[in-house]
Amino acid sequence: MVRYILVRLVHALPIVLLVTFATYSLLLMLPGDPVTVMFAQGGALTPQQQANLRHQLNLDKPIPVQWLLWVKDVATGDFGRSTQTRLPVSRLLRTSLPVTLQLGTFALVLSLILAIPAGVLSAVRANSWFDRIATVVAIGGVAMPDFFLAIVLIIIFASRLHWLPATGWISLGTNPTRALKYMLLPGIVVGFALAPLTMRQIRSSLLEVLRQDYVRTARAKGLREQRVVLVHALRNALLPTLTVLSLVIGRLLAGQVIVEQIFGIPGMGRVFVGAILSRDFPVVQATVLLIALMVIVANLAADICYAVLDPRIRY
Amino acid sequence: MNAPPQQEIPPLLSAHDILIQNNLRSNLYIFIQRLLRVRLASFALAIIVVTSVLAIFAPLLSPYDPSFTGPDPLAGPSARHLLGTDQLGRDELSQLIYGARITLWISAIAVIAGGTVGGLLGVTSGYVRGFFDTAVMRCMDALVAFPSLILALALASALGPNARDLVIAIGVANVPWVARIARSQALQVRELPFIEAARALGASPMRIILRHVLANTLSPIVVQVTLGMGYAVLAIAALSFLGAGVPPPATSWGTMLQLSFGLVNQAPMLSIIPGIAIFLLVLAFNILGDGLREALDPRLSGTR
Repeated sequence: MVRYILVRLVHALPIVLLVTFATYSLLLMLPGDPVTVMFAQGGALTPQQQANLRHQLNLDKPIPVQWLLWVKDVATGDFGRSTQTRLPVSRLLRTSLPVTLQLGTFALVLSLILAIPAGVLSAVRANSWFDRIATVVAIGGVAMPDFFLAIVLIIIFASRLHWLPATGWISLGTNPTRALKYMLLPGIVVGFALAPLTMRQIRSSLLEVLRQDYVRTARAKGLREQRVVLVHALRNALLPTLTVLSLVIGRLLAGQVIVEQIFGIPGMGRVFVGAILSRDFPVVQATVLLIALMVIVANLAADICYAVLDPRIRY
Repeated sequence: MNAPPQQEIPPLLSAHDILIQNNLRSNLYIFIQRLLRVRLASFALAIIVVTSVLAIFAPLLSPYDPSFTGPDPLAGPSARHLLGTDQLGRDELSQLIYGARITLWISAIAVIAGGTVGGLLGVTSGYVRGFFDTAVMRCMDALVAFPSLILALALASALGPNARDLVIAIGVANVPWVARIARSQALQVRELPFIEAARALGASPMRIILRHVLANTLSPIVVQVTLGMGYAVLAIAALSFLGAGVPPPATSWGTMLQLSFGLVNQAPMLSIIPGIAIFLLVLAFNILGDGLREALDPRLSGTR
């Protein structure tokens, strides 16, 4: 087991390096000189200032050296300074990352609350009316643009019914009930986008498990159907669901980028979009890298959990 | 739903099938029949055809110039403006039609380009294997780590918000998914006897990859490309909504939503109309992709 985990970690290493390179090379893709593009807002710079900046940002060195120096800085938590505010990017991340993690966890939990019972019911009563409706909702959920769902929910619950605030954010620590109110709509939007993936996966793997011999044995022993499904079958059916986790996490983070923008939530997604629009490259790089690393870690965690939980898998 | 296809290779075609296959017309006919048997797929196809016709003939079909600012802003639906007007008095329907044009145009080029690159990369790595395969697939793994919307946004900001760079951004996001599927297919196809026969006849690897392997991996690629169209439509809308899409005066559905978002209290319809358009088109591509998967499945491809 330890060996398997080590092998997986070693495999992930080149991917992490490639990801950092891809992130760094965003800067190289800029049309024209990065210094003039990045600092265009500040008015014209003298050639001397440009040269200084170029030296400061290592842009006068060969590209592989630039990249390695950047990775070295990033590894110590130094993402440089925002070209807009001149503040260290790490400070920006320290305030926005917890917000994103909090909303993300909430949305993930909501999606599981939706997806697991729906997936189980769909599998147990395959081809019933419930299954058909759930399938239609799932297909619709995948096609629903999250920003549109957000707008529809704002129209209904904020501007018509006045039940929930349309925009804003309160940290969970300050006032839990009010924080929940602010979190509910964005959480539903992201959770609804994730649920179909998990639900369909649970449905298909549970259907497969329910056909297996040990399930028949459990039934033959006279166990109640509920126990057979929820205790014996579901445990094995949930395992393959782990494999869609990296897709789910990717969607989660992408969904948050949009939702944070719409609901005015001061998380990493909003920082990212702001940086994109103002071409604040150090911030773009830092957020993109963090997001990609989260996906890789989720993937790795899913693989390792899979191996730990399923004794049939031995590599 | 996203589990990798783990099915054995289908049996070789029977004489009857080969007869059918040799006759392209009846083959196509059977295929279309199979596709239409999936009832939802024909509905989806209808949506796509209608949208495409509107997009292609936009200058003829749209009642107004989409950027013409009329005298009656925020008008409701009427005979003059079937879907009403926006805050600048522009005709909503005309904007919708021109938005379809831009959306379909960009997503089609992006997805076909990304599909071609991904397909060739995937088929080649699956056929060649070895170091090339490992290197390509590691790169794809790295690309997949970026959620496609994030990747497209980051690329759009680096390259600049215009149609060409939007195509590149969305195309690149498509490459790894197609490459992975093409590779897994190629790995199966390369073991089939007819590949060995081609090799024995002295065909060059290039010829084998392009004429034999690629041809036999095409159907799952087509399925993936169709599904990719759905993602592309969604991504273009999201990018435009966030302000990183096609720059004005071009209208796109995402831009329409973004502009009307501030007016959500006074004129909710202005947000709902483009939203429904995006939803329906994405839905149509997703359903068509699933329908194609089912229609192409028996014997012809080997995946489910």
